[in-house]
Amino acid sequence: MHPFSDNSGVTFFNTVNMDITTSFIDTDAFMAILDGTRLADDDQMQHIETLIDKGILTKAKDDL
Amino acid sequence: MQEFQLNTSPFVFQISTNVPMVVENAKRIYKSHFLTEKDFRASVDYHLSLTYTGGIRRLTKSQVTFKCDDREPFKPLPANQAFAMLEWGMNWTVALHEFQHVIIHSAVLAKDGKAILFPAPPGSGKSTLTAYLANHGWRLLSDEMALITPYELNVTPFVRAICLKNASINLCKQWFPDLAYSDTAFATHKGDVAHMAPSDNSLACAREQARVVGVVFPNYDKSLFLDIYELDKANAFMQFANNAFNFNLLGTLGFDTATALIENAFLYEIHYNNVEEVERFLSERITNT
Repeated sequence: MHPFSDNSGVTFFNTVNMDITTSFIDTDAFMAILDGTRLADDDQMQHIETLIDKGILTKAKDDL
Repeated sequence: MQEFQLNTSPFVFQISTNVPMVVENAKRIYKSHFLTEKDFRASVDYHLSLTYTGGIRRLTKSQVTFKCDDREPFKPLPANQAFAMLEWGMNWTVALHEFQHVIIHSAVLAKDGKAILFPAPPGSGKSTLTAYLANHGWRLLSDEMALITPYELNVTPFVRAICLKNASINLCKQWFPDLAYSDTAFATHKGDVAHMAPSDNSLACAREQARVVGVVFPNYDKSLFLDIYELDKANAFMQFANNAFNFNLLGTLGFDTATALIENAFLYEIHYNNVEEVERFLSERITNT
């Protein structure tokens, strides 16, 4: 994972299938959502769902 | 069958051919980097061949076949496209086999040791812009692929002929009538194609790396004089990654190199119809970097 320094997004590299996924999500907000210190709005949730669909993020067992 | 070598640093190609126009064009374009048997380098990176296809077809509509180490990646093409096929074959060979560098489909030009990458799809005017810059104070490192040293962000020259298409062939011949051009291959899958010889200065500096300071995505648009947009890093990275040849071979090494490059370079998308204005902008921008 690489969060861009200008806060324009985060890019992910899947080392298994070599897929690159770039999400235009505010980097700080994204990290806060992952930490659980902030709730995702609808737009951010859509980004996160995409990352889950692509296998980049995995839902924690508590959420399943 | 004739044998010759092209010493296009960092790679040496040895080519066998029975097609006279391949030898004539290679000699015209690569000058002192075209080596005959007495000057052959001992160490050859790739053995290629370009030969007429056999059979009765040769008598009516002759075709040529390209092979790299006895593999035949392309279907045969009409014989008048033989030199273009060699150029495309050399690109294919390096893109598929090179592991030492991160390879991006991009032109690379440098000034004062500072390089700008121009990744772009066909039709964006990349080669015409490259031809212009390479003959207006910029050093050509490549028209087709950027060879980036992993983690170091230096680009290694791979100085080759510039591939001109359709209207840009006559345009460049008007701009630079004294340069050498290959024979035009008509009606290829890219339209009419001719190759322009790299400048003597670019060939002479073919072993000098340059540091990447910028990435510019060019878009030729005849209705726009010059529009320049500064890109955010995520957007630039996405376009950049779409032009990567070997991320799948290099894995994390390629990804980390590309993100580091995007973090450290200036990033623009330009829409233009005037190459002089583009040159002026880039010269000013690179001077201030």
